[in-house]
Amino acid sequence: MRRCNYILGLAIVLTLTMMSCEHDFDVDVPRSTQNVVLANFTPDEPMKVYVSSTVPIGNVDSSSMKYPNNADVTLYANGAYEADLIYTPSHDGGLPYYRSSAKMSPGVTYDIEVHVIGNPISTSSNKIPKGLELVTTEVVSIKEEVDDEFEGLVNVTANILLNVEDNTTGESYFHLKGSAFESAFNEMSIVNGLDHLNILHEEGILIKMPDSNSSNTSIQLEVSFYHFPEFELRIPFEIEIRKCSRDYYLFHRSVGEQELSNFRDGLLSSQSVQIHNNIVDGVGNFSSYVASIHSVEW
Amino acid sequence: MFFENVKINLKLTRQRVKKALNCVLLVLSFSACLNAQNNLSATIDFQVSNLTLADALWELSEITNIPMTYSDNDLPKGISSYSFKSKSIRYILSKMLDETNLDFNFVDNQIVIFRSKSYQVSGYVEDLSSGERLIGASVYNAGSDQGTVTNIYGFYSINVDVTSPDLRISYIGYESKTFDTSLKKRENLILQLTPNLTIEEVVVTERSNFDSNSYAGFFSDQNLSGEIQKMPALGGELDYMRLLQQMPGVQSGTDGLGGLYVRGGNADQNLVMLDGVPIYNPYHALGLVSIFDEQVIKKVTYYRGQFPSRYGGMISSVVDVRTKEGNNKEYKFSAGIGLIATKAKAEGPIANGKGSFLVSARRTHLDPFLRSYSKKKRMEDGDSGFYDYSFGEVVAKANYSITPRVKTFLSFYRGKDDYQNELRIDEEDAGFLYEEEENQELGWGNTVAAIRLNYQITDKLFSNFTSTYSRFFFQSDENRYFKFQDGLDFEDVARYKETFLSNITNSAFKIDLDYVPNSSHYIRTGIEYSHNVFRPGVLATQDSSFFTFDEIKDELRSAKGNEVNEVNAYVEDEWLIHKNLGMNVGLYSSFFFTEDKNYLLLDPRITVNWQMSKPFSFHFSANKVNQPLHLLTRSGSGFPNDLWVPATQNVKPQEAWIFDIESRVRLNTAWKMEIHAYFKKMNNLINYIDGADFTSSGTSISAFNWEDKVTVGQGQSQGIEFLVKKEKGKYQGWVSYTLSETTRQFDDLNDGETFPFRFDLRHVLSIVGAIDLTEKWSVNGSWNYRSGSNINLAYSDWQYIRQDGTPDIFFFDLQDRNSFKLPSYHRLDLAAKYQKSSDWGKWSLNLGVYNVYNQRNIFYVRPEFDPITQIQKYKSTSLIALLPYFSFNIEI
Repeated sequence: MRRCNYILGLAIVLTLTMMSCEHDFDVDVPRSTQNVVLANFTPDEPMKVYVSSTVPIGNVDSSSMKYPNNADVTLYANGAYEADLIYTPSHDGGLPYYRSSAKMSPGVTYDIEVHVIGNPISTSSNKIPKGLELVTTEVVSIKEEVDDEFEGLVNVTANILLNVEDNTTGESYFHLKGSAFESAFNEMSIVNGLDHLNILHEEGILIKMPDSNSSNTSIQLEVSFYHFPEFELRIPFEIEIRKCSRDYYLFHRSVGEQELSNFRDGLLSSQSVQIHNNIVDGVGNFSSYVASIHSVEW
Repeated sequence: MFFENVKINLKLTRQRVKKALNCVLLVLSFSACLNAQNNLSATIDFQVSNLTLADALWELSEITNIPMTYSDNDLPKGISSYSFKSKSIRYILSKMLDETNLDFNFVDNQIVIFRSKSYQVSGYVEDLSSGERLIGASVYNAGSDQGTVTNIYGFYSINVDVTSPDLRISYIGYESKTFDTSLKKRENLILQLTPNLTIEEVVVTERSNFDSNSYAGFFSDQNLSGEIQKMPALGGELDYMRLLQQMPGVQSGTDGLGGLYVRGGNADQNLVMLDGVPIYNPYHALGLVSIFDEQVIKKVTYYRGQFPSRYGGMISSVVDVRTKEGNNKEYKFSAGIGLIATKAKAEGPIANGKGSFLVSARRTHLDPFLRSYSKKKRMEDGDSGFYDYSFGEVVAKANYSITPRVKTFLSFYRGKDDYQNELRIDEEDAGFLYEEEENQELGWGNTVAAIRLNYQITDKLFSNFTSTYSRFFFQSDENRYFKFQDGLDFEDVARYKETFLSNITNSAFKIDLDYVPNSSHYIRTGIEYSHNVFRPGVLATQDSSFFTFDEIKDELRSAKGNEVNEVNAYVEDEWLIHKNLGMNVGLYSSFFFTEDKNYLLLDPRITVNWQMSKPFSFHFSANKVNQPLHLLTRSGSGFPNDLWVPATQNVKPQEAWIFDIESRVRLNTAWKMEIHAYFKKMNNLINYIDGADFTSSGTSISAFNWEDKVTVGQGQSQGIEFLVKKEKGKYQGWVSYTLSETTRQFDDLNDGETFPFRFDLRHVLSIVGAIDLTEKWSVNGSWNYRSGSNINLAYSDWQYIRQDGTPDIFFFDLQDRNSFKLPSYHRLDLAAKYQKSSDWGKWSLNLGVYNVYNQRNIFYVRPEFDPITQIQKYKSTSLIALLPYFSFNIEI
């Protein structure tokens, strides 16, 4: 009987062991690298295109990144050849890029073609949105509170109303950035219920406006920043309103969501984000915006 | 006309009056409401003894002063006595003519009695040996060419031709039998069948429109009860949910994990019911084994597209599991042991067979071995601790017949899974000391209870009153402790505690009525009130000592859940329009009251059944179905920590339109073939948005903001399904094949572009076969093949460069959603069974091998990078390799 028990127990343990064993084996995925193309362009400035390559999964070391200096980057405007972009080496801490000599124009559709030896040719297209017709700013309220911990520091909270006249049909997209005393606001938030996301990688707020019959849109914004009255003048702070292309919005929104996701303890507890990609045969973003900068007295 | 063959006797003779004087006549009173118009509704007292029916009718005519017309030749000659008090004339007449093949009508102020062409017979179909009532047994009268099947309580009601009073009863696993109903009482007629060990599976009746193996030919449901024995059993556990995976239109995750995906639906869209009570997670061991223990299951019926209107609330399939009621003839005991679990069952009669009871239990026995094995393994790794896992369940049932027409039922189910993990790590090196302790406890399970009362109101009207309770819970507790000392003065100690609670509770009261007004209609109707409480997941964490952990847990436990009330009603009619044309038309409606929004959901359903020729039938159905519940699932896997949530103002109930065209071919008594083509459109599906976190942290209830984490979209599925089945003979089995395409579209996912569903498995093939070698030996096997499932996969990483030119974070280069197709899944299982009967009982031994050729089917995939070779790889893990198993069962 004891022998029978022993055999039974052994059989169970053995089968359980077999059942719970993990057997690793490879899954075939495409291994070729692709171009990474990143360019956010705006009128009255030359185009800057950052070109790099994808790296193997898990090899997330900046030192392993390569930025080719021999890529052929060709720009087309409304379907016609515009220019071959010129390689500009790394300087002032910035990474190398390819730039155009001419400045971009609003309402023009730009196409790009990037050829790096060993990688497929990447292409993309984007149209610069028309400019904002009119933007007015109105300070609704200003609140100044003396900081309890740091003597002489004042926390300033401003409630601002931005009136935007936008004649575009369909959904429209905005990127708000702001600064006071040459640094970004401590906090910037939308208070009138618009669909928005605060992003960190480019500091600011992305807003999606629904399609509406009215061309007037109001954005109610609350910003806060520090002010040292003893050392600083009450100089105006700045708010930059970018009207973006859809690709600009979707890309930066997805990057922002991935960043937030990473803050929440990474992929183990979060749904991984699919980064919006409008590069054919490559990854990245080729998109445009028009900007309007406003100084706000307070 | 009714009167063609009736000889009219206008005047009662004086001789009959004299004859009547020899009898006792007592007329107690007339009802005040009896008037000159001879109202048959008037109530009287009427009592006569030892009279022929003709004389008794004469007396009734005299008392009521209503002339009666009939033919002497039609009346039976036997002597009877009748006694009625305060009964209507109509009632008295119907009782006097009961079981006579006579009917009556009120025409021109007189009662005309005539020979009827048919009569109604009602009652139950039972197992002769156990008294167990049989669900879905076919009842067929060749004379009237009428057929029906017993309902879920074994009840039938059928119109029988007087010239051919035989009823043919057949049921899977029983010997078909013919009963002559002409000499029997016609109400509460119990028809008993004898189990047939050689299994005569299907009887095809002469009635072309009547297929005894399906629901009167109307619905393409699958009765799985007879099929389970043809399947190899994983670990020795025969499992109906695994059997379902062999059926057309059904897909599942690797090795059966992850629930059922029916015709492109999600795992949460299946209405799984245990004795009519909804079950919210019908699995043990994360889906490896279902909670339905085969030893207590009486019948499992599965619908995947043609839904009868009596089912509602889920949009992809219905799995209706009915358990046995217990043997009311003799006491029986059975027990079994297999690789995974040990089980036992006892049943027997109550009150001299007026009722019965059944108690069963099942429990895994792997935990001591798991604990021992894991302890040893961790010691080898230099750590200490263990892990173990177990599940167990108990089923208790009792029933009692108060009268032949009234029967009560009690049922209870309780099942629970437990997982425990303890780990302690002590490391000391050069004066540095590191200690870590981790303790995890997970528990989840279902509790189900029901009280039921059957009341056969008339031979045409059957009622059922049910009160039910169902609860699914999940709880996870985790404690962690870290301590670090640098050998000098520095010491860092951290404690971390977390608990997660989630449950859904459903209480309901329901009334169902089955009404058979005539041979052309079978009407079902019912109403239900249901109260649901959702606690969609609460998480408490503590990494300091502001509060005690118990205080936080108490706060969570006492937190008010999200309460939802439902009032559901249905009506459906099975309408036999013509001998070869039938229709089931119905409506299921639901009033769904949430805290912020009320919904009225209407589900119209229609199924048309056309018998083109004897072997060929054609079926069409169009169904609208609504589902007011959603499941928040991280992986679509049906794991117990997935969260059930109700529809809200922003997240509407799921809905689907399902169109199904089917052709059935009955080649002969053994072979049949089914071909389906379907189209299914689903709206208001939910999915986590990109970047959504699956948890909410903090010391307060904070998981109720789930609406912010999901996006709403739609799905579409279309496909063709084939089933070829041999149901009789030494060799039995089936081949099922599904060719389908399923997509999803969410505005906020995949740039709004349509993408493949994760379980969009283009080809799914199952081959199942069983051979009876001898009376004692049988073998069976199954081979499954399906296209690989679709997953999100990144082929590489890339780095974001900010607009100012500085490098930023790395991203996965995730391809389009679900664009990577995993390799195909395939697996062969084989089993053999030896069974022997003797005077004291019977026993059986099952031996089998799961995954015979050790196919490494992918369970999950993870990225891996070799820094030396600089080569990226994805490594995948398989779950169950070749697994031999056994089970031994005994019954006395």
